[in-house]
Amino acid sequence: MKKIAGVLALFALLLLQAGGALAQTSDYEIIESFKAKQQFLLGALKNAQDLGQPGQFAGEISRLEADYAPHRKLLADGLYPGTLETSIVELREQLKKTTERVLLAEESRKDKVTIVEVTKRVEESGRKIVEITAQNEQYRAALEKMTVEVQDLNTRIQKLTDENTGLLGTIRALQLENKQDKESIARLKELTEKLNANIRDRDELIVKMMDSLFDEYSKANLSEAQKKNLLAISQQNDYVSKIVTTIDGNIAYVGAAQLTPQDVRVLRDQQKRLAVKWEGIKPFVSKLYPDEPTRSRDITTVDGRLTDLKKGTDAAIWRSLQQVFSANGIAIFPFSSGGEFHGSVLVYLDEQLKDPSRARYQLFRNKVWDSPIKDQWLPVIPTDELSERQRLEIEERIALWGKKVSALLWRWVLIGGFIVVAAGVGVGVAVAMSRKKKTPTVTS
Amino acid sequence: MRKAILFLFLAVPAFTGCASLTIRAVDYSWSFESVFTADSSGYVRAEPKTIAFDARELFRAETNDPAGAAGAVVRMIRDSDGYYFITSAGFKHVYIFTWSRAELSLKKRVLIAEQGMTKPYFNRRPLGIELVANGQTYLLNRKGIIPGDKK
Repeated sequence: MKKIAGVLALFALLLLQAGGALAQTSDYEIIESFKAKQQFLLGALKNAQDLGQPGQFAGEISRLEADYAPHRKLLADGLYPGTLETSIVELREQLKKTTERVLLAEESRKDKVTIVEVTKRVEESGRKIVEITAQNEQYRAALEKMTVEVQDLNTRIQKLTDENTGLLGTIRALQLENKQDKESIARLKELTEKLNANIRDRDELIVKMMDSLFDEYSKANLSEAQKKNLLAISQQNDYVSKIVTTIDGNIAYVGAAQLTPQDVRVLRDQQKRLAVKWEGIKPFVSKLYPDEPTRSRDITTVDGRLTDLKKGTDAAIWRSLQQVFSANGIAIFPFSSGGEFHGSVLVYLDEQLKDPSRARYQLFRNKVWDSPIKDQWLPVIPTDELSERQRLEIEERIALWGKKVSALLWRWVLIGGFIVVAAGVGVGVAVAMSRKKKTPTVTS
Repeated sequence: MRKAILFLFLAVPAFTGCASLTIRAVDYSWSFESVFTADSSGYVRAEPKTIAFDARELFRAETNDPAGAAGAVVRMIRDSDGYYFITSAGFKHVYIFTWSRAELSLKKRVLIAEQGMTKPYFNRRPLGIELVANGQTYLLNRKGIIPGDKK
């Protein structure tokens, strides 16, 4: 608005000058027009809130001076005691004052704007400080709670780890004793189940601890300082070492335990969960390390341990399967993979086909193959480890064994029948002959 | 007697001084014309140091309508000899006055245009008073238009 006013004033001045053609006019008019223009400019300068284009007013003053220079003498009379020069000087001084005033006003306006902006920023900062303080308070409370939880989890994990170490030692000792009495077997089974349950509990606790730290860390509104704080807590709790210890405990367990198919299911689920969780928290764990070599070493260690755990679980499965055969007195070549299992079973079956035994067949079929292998173990063995074709081949070989056992049975049935018939015929002939000898002779 | 001699001794030089003092080569001219607007009663009153007079007589002389002076714009200039040149828009004449005690006495009435002047104005020039009216420029002195100076 002020700019518009300034521009209008200059426009009006231009019109005034346009109307003041000085070619031929009354000297009086020349003086009066000069006075009018000078006064107009003076007024415009005094009232100006904005100088418009830089140098515009200065240009107008110079133009006025140039236009009226030919009338200097006349103006000296008309403006007495003033002159053209004093009038122009007056205008220029006013321009200087106005420039200073406008600049001051502009600075003042800018200062006001700055003050308003600064005030807004201060208010905004104040609000943010209050918000951040509240958030910090919440965070501090959450952190305290989480720290207590983590410490609790830590204690429980340590307790389970210690207990598991004891259990594993006892189990290994019992296995070495190789006692086959019912009591020892029951004791071994009980300890193994306890160890299994402990490991599951510890895995749960580790995952829970991972979640509590990782979830907190993943919060979008955490500041860098808060994240560092979390990292410090994680470092204090020796986070990675606990993960490695947990996986090592699992590896030791699967290295010693006789698994049931149910155990395998549970173990595989746990492995998957651990692997998924580990992949999820890797970026977070990476930040725990101050240097790259240590970070790379520890992460590679955990990755390797997870692979070892998978291999150990696979080995435990095959070992437990082997145990099913040996527990039933079935001698079968050792195996540690699906291919080896397939080969060993076929070798055994082929041996049986050469000398089919109904008793062995029934033992194999009823106590081993149909249950627990076929109905419990095979479902937990993936087909990429033991293919459908391999399973079918084994089934076909067992069926063939069954046929041979049946054929053998029929042969014995026929032989028995023949013997019975032959014996019946022999007995009949003997009876008939004895009757013939005892018949009395009739005389007259 | 002594008092009378003393009076004469003081008074004679004083009277002698008053009678003989004359300032010559006085220039009465105004650098530029004055433009007056008569009030409702036809009285012209300019800024201080100029002049004030009743314009109704002037309008009576020009138009026979003294009431026409009310609110009229009167233009006036003085030449170096001290003669006043007065006219107004619509006048046919320029009136040249000489002054005497509290009076302006017509020295000359100069006919400029029978149809009346539009937008007349005066300027002081070295050789006289310039009048511009109806697109014509005239140079005047107390006797009227200086011959050969109408342009």
